[in-house]
Amino acid sequence: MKKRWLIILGIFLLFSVLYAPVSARGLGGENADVTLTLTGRVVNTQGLGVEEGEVRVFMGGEQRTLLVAGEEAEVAHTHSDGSFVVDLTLPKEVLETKNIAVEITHSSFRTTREGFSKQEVACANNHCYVSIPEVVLPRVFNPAFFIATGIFLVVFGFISFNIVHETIAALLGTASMLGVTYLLGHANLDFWIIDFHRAITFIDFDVIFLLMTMMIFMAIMSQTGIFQWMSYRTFKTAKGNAFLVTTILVIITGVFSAVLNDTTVMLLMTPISIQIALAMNIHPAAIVIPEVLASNIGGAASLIGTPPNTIIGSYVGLTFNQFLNNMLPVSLIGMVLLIFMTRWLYKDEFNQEGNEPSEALVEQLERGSQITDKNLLIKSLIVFAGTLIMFFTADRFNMPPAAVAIIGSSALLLWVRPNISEMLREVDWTTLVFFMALFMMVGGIQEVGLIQIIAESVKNLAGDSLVLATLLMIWVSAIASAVVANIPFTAAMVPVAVYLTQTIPGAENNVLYWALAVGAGLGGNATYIGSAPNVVAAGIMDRAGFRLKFQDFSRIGVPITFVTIFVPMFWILLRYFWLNF
Amino acid sequence: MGIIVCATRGGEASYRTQDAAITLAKEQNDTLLFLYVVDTSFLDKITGAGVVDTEQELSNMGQFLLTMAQERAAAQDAEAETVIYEGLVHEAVADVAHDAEASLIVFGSPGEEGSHFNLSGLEKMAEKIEEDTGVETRII
Repeated sequence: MKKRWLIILGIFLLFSVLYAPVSARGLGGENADVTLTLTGRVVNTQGLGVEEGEVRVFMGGEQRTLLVAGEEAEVAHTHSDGSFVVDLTLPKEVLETKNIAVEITHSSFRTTREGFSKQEVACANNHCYVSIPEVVLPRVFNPAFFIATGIFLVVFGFISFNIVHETIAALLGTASMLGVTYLLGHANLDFWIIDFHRAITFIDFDVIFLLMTMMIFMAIMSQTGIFQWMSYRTFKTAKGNAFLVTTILVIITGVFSAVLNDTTVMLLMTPISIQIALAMNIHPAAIVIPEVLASNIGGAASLIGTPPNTIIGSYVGLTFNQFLNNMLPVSLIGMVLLIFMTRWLYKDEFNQEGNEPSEALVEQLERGSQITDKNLLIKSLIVFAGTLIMFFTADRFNMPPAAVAIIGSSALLLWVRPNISEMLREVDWTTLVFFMALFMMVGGIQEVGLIQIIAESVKNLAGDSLVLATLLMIWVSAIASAVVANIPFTAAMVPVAVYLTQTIPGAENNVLYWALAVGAGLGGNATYIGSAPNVVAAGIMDRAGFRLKFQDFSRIGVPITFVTIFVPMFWILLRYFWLNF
Repeated sequence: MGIIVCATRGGEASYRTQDAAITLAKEQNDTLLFLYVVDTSFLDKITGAGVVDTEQELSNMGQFLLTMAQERAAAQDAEAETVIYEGLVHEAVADVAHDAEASLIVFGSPGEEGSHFNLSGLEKMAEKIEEDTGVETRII
């Protein structure tokens, strides 16, 4: 829209220069006032627009009062794409005799002043126009940069190592950044990180609404007992074949995790899986660990399967189908490899002779695995299937995934008519607050330039090689996600991937986003702390008396993670570089 | 005839404790009460966990583990009752001891594998429970 206006303005300027009845040298009367319109764009060193930059105009070294939206003001601000338009009224002799300069200031950039010659001014009647070439602002590493970076790293540590609840950690980080901004930044711009109004613009409400509405689905479906019933039927069908049970449970977990939140899937699957393992006289880890790895692999398949994918999809504007087309093959390859490796890594468990569980145990297992509300199950399955169809067809209507989820969950609520107060209590508000605070905090580090530095470093490392950039994106994300929480990591890395996609030739095929999704989604499988489903599964195992140590998890997680990333990496190279299909 | 409360879960360490408690109950001709505590505090630092009724899921699992413990007692010609409480372990054990009018509370000595507590932590918890309830607490 703004581009169109700039083009119209450019045509108008050209027209004015060619056909203007008077030139800048020949304006009306000697003492007449003229209106000068200045347009331009302010960018960072990556060529991305700088928003909220302050624009001041100086003539002969003196600051002039501007007209912004018809009101007098000392300062105008740049828009989200970095563009600005300012008007000022001044006597024509001032325009003809004084040097004109535009000064751009921003707390995270070096103040820059650009002058221009009078030859660049085009006039028609009493209105003059000048379009200033792009003003590039270099970053400054002021105290705000170091404070914001420090806050982000501390919060990252808190979240990754479960020192405090993720939501408290993210709120603490956001509060610290806002506190520094308001308490110190007002007095000294060097401490200005981000203000509240700017920070809330970074909240991605697509993600928030998508998460919230999918929680409603999950809350209703979890009340039906479907997960437990399917697990029990698996146990009965497999007739004592432990590997078959594990394989089917792994597939169930992977499929559910692709369309529902992987953490909640594991909360439902782990307790029943432990019981099944004990009934079959095998160590629960032989079922639970492959399951949790499957939840991460399956979750990587779709835009709604895992929070990192939701963040990537929403930030970049990728659709449900785009995610499925590009990530489903990766997940399928990963699932096949996982099943083979599970057979190999747990061969002792699967090869041992199982003993027949007692009737009492089977009865107990069956009691806890009933469909609790058939009517509710049928309704929720029908609406969920309809919602999935809408996800598949949403591209035709240009409908964002959040809108699909809102429509689907509203339909379910309307049909099921649950107690809405109870239902809203089921929504995990801590998660939503966590995401909002996280987005605000990531906005803070974007404002001070940390993301820009990371992006430029990766770009310098990769040069113009898309292959190298893709490999870096996969493995750096995977290793990082294995040791730190993948949600804040992904939130910080998406803008980096966007920058690389814009600057590396050939990256328009979005391969870097898929590389990030693969790394962030599957890297978390390597360690116990790599993703929330791992922590949940380990916690429930502990409650059953089977403590899962860090090394126990990694002994299985590291090789499987390596293989399930290494092989799909070749798929990515084959699909996006070698065969281009 | 008293009541022995044995807080238990699953796994090798718990089986040893269950066996010791069964032996003790038989020797003293006491009633054995296996307790499983539904403690969801591990989810306190995880987002996304509030959507599911985790207490119910863990309660089902606990009932299964208690059934296993009961079978273990039956295999040794002993009878055992079971009970599930929700909350933090030390509070739940104290509550059960009070409600069931227990004469003895037993905890398993932490083994190398699968122990939620270390020995000093367990001793402190046992002392605190004994102080609060007046019921003898033993680590076996």
